[in-house]
Amino acid sequence: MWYFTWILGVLLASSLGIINVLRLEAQEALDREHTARDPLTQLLTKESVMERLREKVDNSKRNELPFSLLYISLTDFKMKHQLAEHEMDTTLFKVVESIKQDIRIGRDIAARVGDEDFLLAIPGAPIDRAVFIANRIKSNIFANVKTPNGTAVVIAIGSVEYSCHTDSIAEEVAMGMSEVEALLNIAIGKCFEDTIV
Amino acid sequence: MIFDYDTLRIIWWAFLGLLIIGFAITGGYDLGVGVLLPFLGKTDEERRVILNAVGPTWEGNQVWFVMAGGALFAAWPTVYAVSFSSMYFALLLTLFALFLRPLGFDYRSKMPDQKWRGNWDKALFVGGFVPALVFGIAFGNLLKGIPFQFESDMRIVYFGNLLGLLNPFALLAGLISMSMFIMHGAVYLQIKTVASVARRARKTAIAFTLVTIILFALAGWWITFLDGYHITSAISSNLASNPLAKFVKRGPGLWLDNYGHIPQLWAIPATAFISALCTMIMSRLNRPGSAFIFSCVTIASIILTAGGSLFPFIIPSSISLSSSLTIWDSSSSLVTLNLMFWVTVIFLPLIMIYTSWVFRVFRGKVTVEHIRKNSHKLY
Amino acid sequence: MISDTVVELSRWQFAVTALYHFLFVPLTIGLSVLLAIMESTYVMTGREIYKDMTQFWGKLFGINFALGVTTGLTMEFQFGMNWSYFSHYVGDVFGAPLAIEGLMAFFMESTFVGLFFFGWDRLTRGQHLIITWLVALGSNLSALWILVANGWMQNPVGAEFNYETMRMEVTSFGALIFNPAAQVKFVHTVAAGYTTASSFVLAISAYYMLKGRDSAFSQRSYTIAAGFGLAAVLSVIVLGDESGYTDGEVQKAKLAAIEAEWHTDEPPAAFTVVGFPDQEAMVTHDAIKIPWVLGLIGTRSVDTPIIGLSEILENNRVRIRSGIKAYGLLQRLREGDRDERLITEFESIKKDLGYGLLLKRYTENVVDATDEQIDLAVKNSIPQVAPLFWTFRVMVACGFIMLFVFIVAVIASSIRKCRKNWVFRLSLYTLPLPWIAVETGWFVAEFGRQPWAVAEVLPTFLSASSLSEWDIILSLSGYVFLYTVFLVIEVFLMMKYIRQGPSILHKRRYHFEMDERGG
Repeated sequence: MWYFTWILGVLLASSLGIINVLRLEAQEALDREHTARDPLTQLLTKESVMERLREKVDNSKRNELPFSLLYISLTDFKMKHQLAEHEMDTTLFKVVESIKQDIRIGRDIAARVGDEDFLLAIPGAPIDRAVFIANRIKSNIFANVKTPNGTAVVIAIGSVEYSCHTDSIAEEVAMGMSEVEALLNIAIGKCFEDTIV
Repeated sequence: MIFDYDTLRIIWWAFLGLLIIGFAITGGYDLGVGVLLPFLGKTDEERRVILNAVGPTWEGNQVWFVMAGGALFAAWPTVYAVSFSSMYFALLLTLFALFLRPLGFDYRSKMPDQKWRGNWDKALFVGGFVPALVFGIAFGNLLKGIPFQFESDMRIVYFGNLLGLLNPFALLAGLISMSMFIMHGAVYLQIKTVASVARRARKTAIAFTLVTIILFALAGWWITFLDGYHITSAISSNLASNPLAKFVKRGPGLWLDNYGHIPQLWAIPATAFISALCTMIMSRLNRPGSAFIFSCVTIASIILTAGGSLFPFIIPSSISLSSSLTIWDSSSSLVTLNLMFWVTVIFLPLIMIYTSWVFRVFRGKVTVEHIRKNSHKLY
Repeated sequence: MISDTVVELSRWQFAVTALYHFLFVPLTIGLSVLLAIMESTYVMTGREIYKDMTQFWGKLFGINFALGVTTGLTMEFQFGMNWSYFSHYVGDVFGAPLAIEGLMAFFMESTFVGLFFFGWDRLTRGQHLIITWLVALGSNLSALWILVANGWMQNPVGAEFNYETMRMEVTSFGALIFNPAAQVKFVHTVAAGYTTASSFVLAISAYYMLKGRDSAFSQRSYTIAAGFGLAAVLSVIVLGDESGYTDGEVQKAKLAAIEAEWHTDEPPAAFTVVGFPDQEAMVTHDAIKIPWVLGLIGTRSVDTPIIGLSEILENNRVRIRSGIKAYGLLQRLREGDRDERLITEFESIKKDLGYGLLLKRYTENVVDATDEQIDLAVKNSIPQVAPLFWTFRVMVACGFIMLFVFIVAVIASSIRKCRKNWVFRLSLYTLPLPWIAVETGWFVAEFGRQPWAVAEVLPTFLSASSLSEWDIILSLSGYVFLYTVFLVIEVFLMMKYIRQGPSILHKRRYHFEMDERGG
């Protein structure tokens, strides 16, 4: 009678394993749906990106890997060109679309942290890599994205590397949400503006 | 349905032969390929081609060997006990050599270091060479008789040593099995490879078929004056297994007795020669599929020739003639033979069906390009 | 008469080769099922990550499987090589399950394992899934048949001694296959295999989680292993308990020895947690006991006593004397006497023949055994208690620790807040436990069967081949040397692959490949 029990047992145990993991999948799907997202671009919002950033920063520290942030801003562009709101929205949308082409799904984090400001986190990338990506995004957008008026879109990108080995200012800040905020400020503050007219 | 004891014994003698032949035509070519690996594969990629030509199916082939041992244990336990304890060191060395194969296949290409790979290639060579040789040596010693005897409580005592097993006739038999496995392996490689590897394989196949024919003929001549064994007491084929209840005589040329009684048996060695020639021809004509079939027939005939000479003996004893093991007095009980018969009759065809399906799934040539494209997924 | 040294060396060699073999077998048995589960999830959900999981854990499975096959070859042939009298004496019974193991299990497992590794691009998803399940089935079935064989050694049902052939012969295959000892051992052993594999996947996934690498991959692996493993470890413990429920006299002796139950105590007997068993004095020093527990667990009742060793020894003395008589009758039968009454008398006491054979260790002729020799035989008719006492407790302790770990793991895999670092570290550090448990478990099973090779039928010392000491010294050294070298290589490769993680699949999705952007 134990032989039959074995067959039933294996099926039961296998089902338990499968059910367990399907439950995990459902949980993750639920998480994804309930994450606050920006309605226009479907990117993360400033609040929802903070938690993720902290996890990624923790991770990088533990693995001793570099971690870069790109800060992308169309504020200047908006001030210069005075587009109507819906035109601006369309432009932003196209910009985000072309940024998304360069993103590694599941690994990089993209968020809309201001009306026309975006944050892109690239775990594992050192500063030169980040700069390379930044330039690529910029030239991509300049070449391919046009406003409804036909003007070329110009963006400002700043990049900063966060690494446990650099003695950047970030290291002096205590751990916590404030550290990430500080990073953002650095990103904004230490932006080397590179506008092409 | 229960068969007669004597019918079952004959059936199980045939099954044993079937399993041994089964191993020889499946595992045999794997052994041959192992021996040929350093010679037919001149570069790392060519060697990977060779390994992957047999890679997906070699483990299944090896089970025939394990199965032959298991079936021997189940149907001929006394034979199993005598042969394995008598040929202790020969088996031990064979086992050690066989150890190298699963590791060699799986681990060899997992590191890029050329020294690592070179060492595993040598290991795979040994893993093919030693078992191929010992297979024949074992058979040769069966024909010569092994110096063992039974005590009154049926304890087996063995009086020989490893050197005794390496007598000239047995060594000749070892060379025959070696060359027939090399022939077989080369033909298989001719089927599965292209370009320079296939060309080398063809040359090797033809050469070693010739060697096999010559050596087999030599052995045939030798047998005419080798001491054979013959039962002189009345044979009761359906009694309980008790080897000590018979009388045996020994004399030159007695191994050809069966061929004398049943002249049709000469067809078997004749088939061996003819199909060997056909193997050579087909290989030369670049029809390796047909060559492989003839090669299988050749090997089967060679083994059957030896088995047919031995019949009804399985292991003659050279020092205590009546201790010799024949099919009538060393089998398992009627109940066991019967049960095992039915299990085998159900599962063996099943095994052959799914094995041939697996071979079909893996049909086609293995090329260097294929290795390059899938480097991380292959042996 | 065979020398004690030869027997000892043969026993050491069998123990070493068997324990080595069983380093790899439980992982094969369990991981094959886990692979089937992962691939089932892949086919059910269509998500590539489960295919990656199947392939990555499959690579580790392959590294392990190679050594399982290698060490298994030795076992198939060792019975004939080193235990030839055993092979002759019980081969009619023992050989059949081994042969069936080959026909039913080995062929299936080995033929389809090649397809598992290399058939991804040649088969449909459904076909490949069936193949994986068949590989799992094959390895589990091989455990079945070898345990039918081993179960028969512990409780030799369905067979009788035949004086004409001087061996045991099958009378009922049904009894052989449905031997309660075999059934329980089988389910217990495969459950142990499932536990081992689950611990393996759990620990390595925990390692990746701790490193923050490939978290989606490792979380899913962890979750599957946790669920499956909890069911497995519960089964192992319950069935281990079931194994204590004895069938057959030698099993009763084994239970008494494991529990250092020297005398038949008032039921329900107390359970000795720790202590120092003393075989000469037949007492356990400094024992810490829990009242009633042994009786309740061992007999599932409050009034059935657990037979103590001293009572067993007295029973054995009676049987040994009867066995001497049986041996004498057998000798006359072997000389050719076929008197009707002789045969009837022999048939009626032949069940004690094995006990008579125990005396062969001291005198070749058995019937002329002196009282001292009989005393000696009685004393040695039970196994040594102290080693069994301790190894059993180690095994059980490991089992309960693993139970705790799997409960924690299941909770952690279900509730996000519980995914703390300490959980993963615990999962990682308990990696060696299943191996300790299985090896001590096999020690208990086999050492506890001594002095018998086949309980009450054939003593161990008679079973060995009549080889010379040097034969075995050479072979044992060869095995130890080669196996150690192989083990070192295997562990080296395994660690290298584990450190790489799923990046070894070169799918451009995983940790070590992520610093390069595509293009």
